Amino acid sequence: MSRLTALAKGASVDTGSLAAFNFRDMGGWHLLTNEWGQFLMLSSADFERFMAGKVGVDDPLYAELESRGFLKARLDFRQLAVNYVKKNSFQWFPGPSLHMIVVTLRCNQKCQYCHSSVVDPSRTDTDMDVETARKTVDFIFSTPNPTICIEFQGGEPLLNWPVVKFITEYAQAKAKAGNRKLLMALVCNFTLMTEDKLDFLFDHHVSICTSLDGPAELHNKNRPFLGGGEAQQKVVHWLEKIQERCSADPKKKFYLPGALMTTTRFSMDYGPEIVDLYVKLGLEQIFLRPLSPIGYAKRVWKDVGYEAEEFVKFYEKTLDYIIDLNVSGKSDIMERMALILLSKVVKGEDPGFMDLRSPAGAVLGCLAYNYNGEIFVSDEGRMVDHQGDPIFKVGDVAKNDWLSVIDHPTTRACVTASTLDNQPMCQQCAFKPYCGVEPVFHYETQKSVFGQMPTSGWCSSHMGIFDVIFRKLRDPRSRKVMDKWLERDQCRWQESDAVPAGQPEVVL
Amino acid sequence: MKIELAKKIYSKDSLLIAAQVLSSKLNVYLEESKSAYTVTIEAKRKDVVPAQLAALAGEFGNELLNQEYRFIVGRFNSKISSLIVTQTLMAARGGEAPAAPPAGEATPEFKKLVAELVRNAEAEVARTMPKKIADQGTVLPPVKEQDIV
Repeated sequence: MSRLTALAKGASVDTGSLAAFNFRDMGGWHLLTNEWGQFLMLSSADFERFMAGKVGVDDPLYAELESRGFLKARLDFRQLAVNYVKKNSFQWFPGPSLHMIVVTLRCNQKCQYCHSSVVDPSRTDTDMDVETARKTVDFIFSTPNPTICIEFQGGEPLLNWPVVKFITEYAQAKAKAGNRKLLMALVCNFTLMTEDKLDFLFDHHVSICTSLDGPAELHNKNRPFLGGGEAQQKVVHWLEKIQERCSADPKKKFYLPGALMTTTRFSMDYGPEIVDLYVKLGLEQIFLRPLSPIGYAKRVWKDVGYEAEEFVKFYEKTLDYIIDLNVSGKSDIMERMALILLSKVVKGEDPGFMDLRSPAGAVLGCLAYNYNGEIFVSDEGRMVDHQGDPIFKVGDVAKNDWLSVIDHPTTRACVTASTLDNQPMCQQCAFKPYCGVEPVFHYETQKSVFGQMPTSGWCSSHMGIFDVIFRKLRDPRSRKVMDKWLERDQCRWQESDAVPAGQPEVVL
Repeated sequence: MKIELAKKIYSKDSLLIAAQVLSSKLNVYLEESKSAYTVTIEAKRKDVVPAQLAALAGEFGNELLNQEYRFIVGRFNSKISSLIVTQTLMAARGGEAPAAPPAGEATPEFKKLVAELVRNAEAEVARTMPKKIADQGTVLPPVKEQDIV
């Protein structure tokens, strides 16, 4: 069943004066959005007047409707085009900037959801070798985007440390020779971190991110060591150690560690405790991420999964808690999903989040490289291959060049399927200007890269989150907090020389 | 279970795609007369009770509607969506020919540096890593009974 809302029966509509827009009944007020990314939150009475063509030139609402492109006769095409390009800047990007390299499938943890679909530490045949690593970097530098971000993933990348080092040094040599901008990031579980490795990462400006699902009892349940044992203490230990070193050296302040949490069924009762831990560790942001039924997680969904509506409830409750902490002055921690959506909605900018773009970031914004050199449209696409279905493979670093990857039929299918103008329901949805669909998610859950939005868990959870964010935007107390987040986030990007102006990519 | 569908409303393409999408759960047989399609739906699992088959038929109906509506939306928005898809693919392509490697990579210094990096990395792999075992076969995790549709 469609989750869209409709006009009241018998509502008066004067189509002659209305520019193209979508709307949503938010209960007592209406949200209006248009293709240029402009929005308005109108009381239901004002919405009815507007629809009936009863907002006159002298009405205070008229100027607002006019400036935001909702009046057909008063469209400022030059300004609206500027807004469109700013909001959809990724449509003009010359190829992907985010390159995720899986240097090994091995891992020393056996996470409940194991997104990355790992193998036992004895499977050294799933380590990337130096020759493949070299070809992978060569392929990455053959793509046309002047900014390259290489992200190490796994398995646990520290299990193949010599190749992580090689890729880092080789990529930096190539970036220097070719005058390319290079960002590097390592996503690891911290359990194999050492002082020597940390020194290397700092010396080579590799930013570090880990997984922290929450308090020990929750984290260790979600992410146990292979064969048993507790991992959370090690994560906390290294987070504190890295924070300490970053605080002591102003040059390192841009390399403050990040942490990501994945929400399982077990997380649902722990919202405030998870936030409190992130606050205690001095982390700037928390990213309340839903679990996706992709790869291994699909197999254990009955044990760790939940309905989209349950996640939205968890999200709203935990976001309320974060806002309360900000209002009371106890913490200034920010929530990343809210920031991503606010950047789109309030600032009219693309924050570089691959999943919420139209078309999606698959190939256009990111590529994933398996340990054996195979290239996939995204890391999720690689996970599907790990389950025995190579549908999202678009090349091999040893055999293919960039043009054959961008011209691959799978690339075209993903781009077409994730263009919201091709999607039933999306094209009428008020959240369309800010949203996106993920072809791999829908292939995994609904057996079609297009998906079926009325029954899609993706659509349900994202519409729910958008509802929450727009309700917060209408609430002055929450709005004040969110405006501060946007100011701070902007300052952070602007201060960092490592981030290219104009097209920052979110590294996850 | 048999369903009759008017040709005026449903296209053959939509029927075929819906059948493909649900092919892991259903066998779909198609017959046609001048004005209608007759679709026969069979569950792939043998132990399906009538209520479950009715639910599967409902799923097929939803997917059929989704595909039919997708065609309508696709036709309606074809100009703008083609423009967006073409724009993004052409921008991402970055030109008609791959860029040549930068001149800096052709220098003897660069080649020497790369050779040294490779040599060091291979030496470190040999020194510190577990001996690489030859291909050990599939890396797929074992499939559980309930995963099989």
